[in-house]
Amino acid sequence: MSAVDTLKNLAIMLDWTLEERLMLAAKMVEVEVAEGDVLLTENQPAEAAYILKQGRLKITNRGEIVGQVDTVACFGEISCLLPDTPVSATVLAAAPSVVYRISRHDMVDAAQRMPKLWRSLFMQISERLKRVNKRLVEVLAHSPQGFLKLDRDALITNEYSTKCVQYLGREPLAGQSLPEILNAGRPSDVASWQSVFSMVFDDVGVPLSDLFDLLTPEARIEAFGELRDLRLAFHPIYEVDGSVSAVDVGIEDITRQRELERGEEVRRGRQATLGKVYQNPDSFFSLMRLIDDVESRAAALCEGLAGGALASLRSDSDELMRQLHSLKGFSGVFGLSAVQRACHEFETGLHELAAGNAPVLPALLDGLRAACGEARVVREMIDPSLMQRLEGVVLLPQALDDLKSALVAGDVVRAAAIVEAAESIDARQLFTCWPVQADRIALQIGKSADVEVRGGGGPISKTLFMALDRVLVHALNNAIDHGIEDPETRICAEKPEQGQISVLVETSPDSLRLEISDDGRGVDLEAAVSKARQQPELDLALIDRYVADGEPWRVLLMRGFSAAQAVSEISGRGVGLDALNSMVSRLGGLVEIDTTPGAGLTVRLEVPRSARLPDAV
Amino acid sequence: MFPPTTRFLLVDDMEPLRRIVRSMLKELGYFHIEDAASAHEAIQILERAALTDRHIDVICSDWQMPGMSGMEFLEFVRATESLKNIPFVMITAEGTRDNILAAIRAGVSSYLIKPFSFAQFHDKLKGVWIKLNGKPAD
Repeated sequence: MSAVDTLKNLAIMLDWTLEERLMLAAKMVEVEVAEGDVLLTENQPAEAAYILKQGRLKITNRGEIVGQVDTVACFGEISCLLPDTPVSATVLAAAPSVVYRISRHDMVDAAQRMPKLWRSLFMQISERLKRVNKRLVEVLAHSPQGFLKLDRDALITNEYSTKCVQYLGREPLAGQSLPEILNAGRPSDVASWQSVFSMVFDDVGVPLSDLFDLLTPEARIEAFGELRDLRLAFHPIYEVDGSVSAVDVGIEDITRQRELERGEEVRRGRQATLGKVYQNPDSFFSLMRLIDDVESRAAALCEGLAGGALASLRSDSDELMRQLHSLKGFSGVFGLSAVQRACHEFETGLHELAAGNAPVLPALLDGLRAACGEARVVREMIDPSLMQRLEGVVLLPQALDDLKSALVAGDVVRAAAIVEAAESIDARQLFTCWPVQADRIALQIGKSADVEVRGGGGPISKTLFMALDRVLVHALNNAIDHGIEDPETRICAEKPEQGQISVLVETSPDSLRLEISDDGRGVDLEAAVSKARQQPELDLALIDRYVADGEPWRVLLMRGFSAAQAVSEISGRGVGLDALNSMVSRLGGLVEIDTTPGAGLTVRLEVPRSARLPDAV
Repeated sequence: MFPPTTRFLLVDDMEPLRRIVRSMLKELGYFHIEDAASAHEAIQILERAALTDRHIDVICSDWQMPGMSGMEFLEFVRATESLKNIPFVMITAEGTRDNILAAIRAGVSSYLIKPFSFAQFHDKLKGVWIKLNGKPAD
């Protein structure tokens, strides 16, 4: 194929006469190039224009491959014809190729002689521009990223892709402030964002990437009614003089990714809870019953409130408060922090109600139900046959044989004893979780406590176990929250840095005896009594009787009494010891408290082993 | 990137952190590394170095130090004629935007938020070098 024939194949020269083609062909020199040979270099003026005859050329821009050409095409002609116009892309051979070279001088000469050449080039540029525009629209539509350009005031310019509208939830975006969209409702964040952003345009001495790192790398915003997690990337747009004129922002939707991560977190939390369930299944089932109970009581209370019967709900509310408090402490043992939070919120709601405010209890009830649902999910995760063993009564093979022979022999008393033994639980198991739980609570409030369980223990009925299990946690919470001092205070008081909680578990044929002691600050009973006297909801006559009887510690067990200064998530509403006391009384047992200011506090419990609850727990 | 002869000064009251940064620098091929356990000690090193031709080229300093803080040290460096142009990388555990803004306003060359990886350390040094040598960020 001759030079003239090659020109014939150039789209822009279709209407050229043979004479015109011959004239240009006379200036063309055929050159063979090897793979990798560079014909034109971006940002440099072209020394010549090239027409590809055969082979393949690669066009790159800043190292990115922009395109490959293997048909007859012309390169570098604009840079040859326009003074001070460097080529916009690098052109190099992608394979051994043959090109025609027209020197810059010859190109200028040809253009001067043939005005038609200008027209052809103009058409070519217009065609390329159209193609680039179309391509850009396609790329933006298909890219998962949204792109927008910010001016120096961090306002979105009119250069933004449709994806941005979708991601940022606003239309039109032009003129809107990106920091205000990203930090809605947080004016101080908007201000610091703006400060960093303005530094991008003023040379402040740090690399631009340092500044971009300080801008929002991730944001969660509401767009058209749904929450989206977005990841943002910032890139400077430079002026010719090297200064920054604007900033490009790429926005990626990572909602799905974050959802998966959150799902994974929930799954891990459930597994951890499940592990604790296997360690202590009886406690867990007791917890589940408490959850059912709390939920139905809370629902009943909300219903009653809706009916307007506020006064008659007072005692219901008190009972619910005690149970919520137990559930709050108890669910922590199993790492069900959502239940803990929901209980705390509902408790706060009940307090507001008592104070004469109007909390949104139905909303709190929804929160409580959702959290309790999470606990039920864990229960559903247990395999049904395992569930039967965990929840039911397990007879070991030997006991089963004994039971069979007792039944065959008609010895009902022995059979009943075997079943009862199988049903019973070692009382020491009431404290299985305590060391871990103590660590967890203490860590939460910057303290340190060790739990020691002593005594021989002994079998107790499942009913008694479950009844006590849910309320004993108050004694632990109280000991750590109010008893054990923080490490500095303890060191000053010449006590070991780590607080000591000691539990004694003993059974006699008739009763279960528990002693829970801490070596904390104890309670100044005189001060407690005078504090109790100032609490209007407490019965003054009763307080006086306790003091006259020489048992001032009984004020600590009064409903509504709290010695603590602040209500915390752990304890401090004055329902803890009250809940414990009320349960033990119902079981027909008694609670005693012994305390020496500065030296610690001991809670003593004695409960009949034959205790049966008069009403449902 | 900074040439292998570059002299670094590490300032941190915590010895383990100095050791980490030192090993990262060695990994990058830098062996001229001075150590200071406090800003005061660092100032003595800078003064001593100024008397010889073993001047310090880059300072990497912790922010939270007993006595003179990294911020006060930075202010001292920027206010001292013979030292004011030394690149200063601030290392901090308090990476809030407002904190970093304060450091940038005080003239820091770059910052690193603890804990940081080798790659992050490398990127920051590279960023400082490019910034100083007037090349575009990409």
